Amino acid sequence: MTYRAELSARALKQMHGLPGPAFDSLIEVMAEVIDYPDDPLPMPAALRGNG
Amino acid sequence: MAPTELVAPGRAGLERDLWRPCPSRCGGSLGATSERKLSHVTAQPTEDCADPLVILRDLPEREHEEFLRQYHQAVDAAYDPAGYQQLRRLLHVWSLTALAAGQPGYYEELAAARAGTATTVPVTDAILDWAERAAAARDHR
Repeated sequence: MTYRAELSARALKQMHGLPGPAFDSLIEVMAEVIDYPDDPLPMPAALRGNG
Repeated sequence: MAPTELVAPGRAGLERDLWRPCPSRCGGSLGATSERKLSHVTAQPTEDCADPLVILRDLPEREHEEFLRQYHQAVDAAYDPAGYQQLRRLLHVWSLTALAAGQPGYYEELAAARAGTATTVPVTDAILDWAERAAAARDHR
């Protein structure tokens, strides 16, 4: 199974104007999440179902 | 000898007083005149956003338990030097989470994403050179 990142309207808005290094970091994180979706990255409470 | 103007340092405490040439007060170019003026600038101590205490301060209460659970686990693993980078990564990502979660509407948007009601755009449409950038990021790991 492969995963694809989807960006919300708010994320898109925030993405514009990001400094280059910050944009690169965003790409890195998204690529990592797509490649390793089960990696124990921080999972906000709302996504764990108890938020 | 050309005159040099020194402006006295101001506040004490955590701030450090630095002295540097002030081009604007020298006609915009230090080389244009033999006169040098120094202005007072203040450097504020920078905060380490990956400091666990800073993360806890900025993170919503509802996230504390999970952060501490993962943090303690990563700290234990960091006893082995190989675990150090994982601890750094964890703190970095949680610092970003604290930043994001502090934004108004963050949880509402997450809820919409879970419910499938959020309007989203595939990353490949939003970032046209996504494939190249993602490949470069993978190579960078």
